[in-house]
Amino acid sequence: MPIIINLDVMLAKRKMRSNELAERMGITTANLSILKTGKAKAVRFSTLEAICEILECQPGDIMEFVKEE
Amino acid sequence: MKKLQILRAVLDFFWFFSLISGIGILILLTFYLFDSNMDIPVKIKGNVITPTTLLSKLIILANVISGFLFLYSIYVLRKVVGYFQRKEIFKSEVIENFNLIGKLVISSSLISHLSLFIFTYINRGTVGFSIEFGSYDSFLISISLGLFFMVISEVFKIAKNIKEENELTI
Repeated sequence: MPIIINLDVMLAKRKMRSNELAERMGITTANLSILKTGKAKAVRFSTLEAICEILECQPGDIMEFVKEE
Repeated sequence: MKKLQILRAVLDFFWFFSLISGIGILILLTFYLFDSNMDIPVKIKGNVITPTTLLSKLIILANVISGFLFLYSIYVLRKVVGYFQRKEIFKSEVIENFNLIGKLVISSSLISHLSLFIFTYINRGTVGFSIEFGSYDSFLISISLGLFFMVISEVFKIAKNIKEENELTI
């Protein structure tokens, strides 16, 4: 998929662990892992809002579009 | 789901007795086709066929093959109902099986009707097409049924994708 998830980069910048983010967002670590590994097919606005609020960032900081070769 | 249990019971009942008669037919067919003394006429969809010529023997063989294809479709349908009972509904096996049932029903009907069409044409010298009203044995109904199963397979494929998408929405 040409949409790349950079959640782990943002987590590293904020020095936060995945477990903590999942807990604060109220989702399971398994679901967060699906999102982090790029296996997710869609992201809800509410999820995106929660991530942006907790990590104090913009949606563009978490995901980017990379053209497929 | 009580309807599912009833369907399974009906299919099991039909499958069991059809299998017994199928095995019987298979054993009888060997003697019937290769023993020249056994020229007992058989009635297939209103046509009385006596296995005296090679053509009539081939027609009988084609109809037996058609019957076994239909029987196999019932077996596959039983498998699908089994998946449903285990709550495994949107599986790739179910999709493939529905498609297979459709193909089996269509081929079974085509083989049976085409062979009888050829038999009628050669024996009576006439070509006819009839639409049987109010019967499930009609050629058009069986073709429609086969196509319906193939459409169901496509619908299940779409449903499986939607289900996967829903599960992978975070």
